Order: sequence, then C-alpha cells, then structure tokens
Amino acid sequence: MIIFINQVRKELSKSSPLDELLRELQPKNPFAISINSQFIAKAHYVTTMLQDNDHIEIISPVTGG
Amino acid sequence: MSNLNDVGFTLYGQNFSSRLLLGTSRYPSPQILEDAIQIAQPAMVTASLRRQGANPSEISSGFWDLLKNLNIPVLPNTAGCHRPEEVIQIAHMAREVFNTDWIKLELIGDDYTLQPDTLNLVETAKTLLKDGFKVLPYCTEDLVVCQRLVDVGCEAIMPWAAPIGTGKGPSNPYALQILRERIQVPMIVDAGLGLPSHATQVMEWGYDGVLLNTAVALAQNPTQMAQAFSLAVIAGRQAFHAGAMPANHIAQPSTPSLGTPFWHQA
Repeated sequence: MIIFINQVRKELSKSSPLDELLRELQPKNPFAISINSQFIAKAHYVTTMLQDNDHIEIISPVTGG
Repeated sequence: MSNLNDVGFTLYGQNFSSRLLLGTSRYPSPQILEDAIQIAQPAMVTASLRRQGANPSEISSGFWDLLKNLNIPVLPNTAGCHRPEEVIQIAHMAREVFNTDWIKLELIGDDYTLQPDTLNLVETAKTLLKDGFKVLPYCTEDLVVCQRLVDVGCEAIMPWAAPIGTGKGPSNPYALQILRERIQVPMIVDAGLGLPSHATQVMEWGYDGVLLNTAVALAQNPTQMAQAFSLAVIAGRQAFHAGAMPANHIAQPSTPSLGTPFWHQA
C-alpha cells in the first residue's frame, strides 16, 4: 500500500500501526503527527492503523512571530 | 510611586514579569536571537510548527534546544492557517509539542495584508477555548470583533497596529484609542510596530503589552533594539500611569515671566 509522509510517497508491504512506522522513521523530537489533516495524539500511536493513501504530516518546532 | 513596579501583567491568571512578547523569526543567527531574548527578557517568545525537514536553516535546526535553555514561556502560533479546521489541528499539535495550553490564534483572511479573517475568528476562538486553550487572538482594531472575542471568553486580545512585518506603527490611532477605552480585558498590540516609539505610543494609550518580531530581528543591531523595545514598553506604561498633560494650541512659558529683568522698560 502507498502512504505519503510530508508529501513524499512511501510504499508499505502491509497495513501497520503508526508507532511501527515512527520506530522506523525515527523523527527528531519533539514532533506531532496528523493523518489526513486529523491530529493524532501520542497516546493513539499504537492503536492507529495506517491505511492506503494516508497522508501523514510530521511537524516540529520552528521560529515564529 | 507604586506604579513604578508595574512592569509585568497577568494573562489568564498567570503573572508575567514583562509586558513585551518577542517573536523568534528572521534573526541573522541563533546567537543573535538568543542575545536579543536574554537582554529583553520578554514575558513569552513565539514559535511555530512546520513539516519536519522543511526548514533546514541553522536557526530552525537548533531551535528547540535554544528554547529549552532560555526557559522563557513559549507562545505557539497558528501562522499560515487560512481555515478554522487548520487552526484547530495546529493548536492541538502545538499543545503536544510545546506542552502548553497557550496559543496565539492566527487565522489569515488575506494573503496580501495578512489581515485576520475576522468573520471566522470568533467561532474559532470559541472552539479553542472550549478545548482548554488560553487563546490570544491576533485581530484587527475592529471594536465589535474585539468585543465578540471577549464575549466568547478570550481573557486577552491582540489587535494589530499595522500589517505584519511592515514596521509602520499604529496606522489607525483613533480606532486603537477608542478600542482601549471600550475593551476592559488585557490588550497586547501585535504586529506592525517598527520603532520603540511605536511601542511607547500604544503603551501610553493604556495598552497592556506589545508583541513584535521583525522590528527587532531586522534591526542593524537586533540585541540593542531588543533592549530599546524593552525600555520603551516600560516608559510607555509609566507614562500611562503618570497621566499626560493636556495639549495646548498656544505657547505658555515654562519659566515664570514675573520679575523678568529689562522687560517692558522701554
């Protein structure tokens, strides 16, 4: 199945939980996640199953005004 | 003389020791950003969220460590959001990343002026307040919009002085002064300030604080300008408490004329 991480296409062999993907990606802390524009709290990483064509956003702190 | 210690203020029940809020963007280097914050000692510093890897600049890469070391409260913003749903999502993500309920609500309605979408601002603020956020909405000087924001529970609001990044200073002094007379909650002038005198001006009108970024970051000496703004905010607040003299159209000598030698002898 195909997912998109920060707009970059990625192929997965099967549907897997979000926390499994994050273990593989090792995003730099701190970060937050949304899938298809819906915020996913850390507590739900284990129970959130990725679906085909999911758009995952991994965001981090930047400077701001 | 008791007001000489009135350098801080209270927002949503939390005390802050400064009335200056400082943005963290557009500084020449991380060191200059840190120096500016250290010398200004602002109540809060603003920050934002972007896709990981999308901002590989020197400042962004070490920004989190810098924030942790400064130990100054962070005010995350929702900059760049054009729809209420985007604001809500970013606010929740910011709460998790920054571990804070504070949120600077930015809902942009026009890309040319970066004017807030005032038609949707109130409902968006209401939703965030319901979700437990301490909302500081970036708004215009529109009295009715500001009153509605207060009506839905905003305990402080942040009207602009001029469009973000312009440095023009208060472009509608009359409206800002009327707004101060009519709105009772703390008000922080956010955006459009370019000079310390602009900050002093709005503080003299009775505003409770100022939030600025570009005026410091793009100064030739940002650290020195940060200190200048810090002092300007204090000066304006003291002047507000001191009460200005009434302006006159006719000159009045400040030196007594009685007893002036050689006067009217001819």
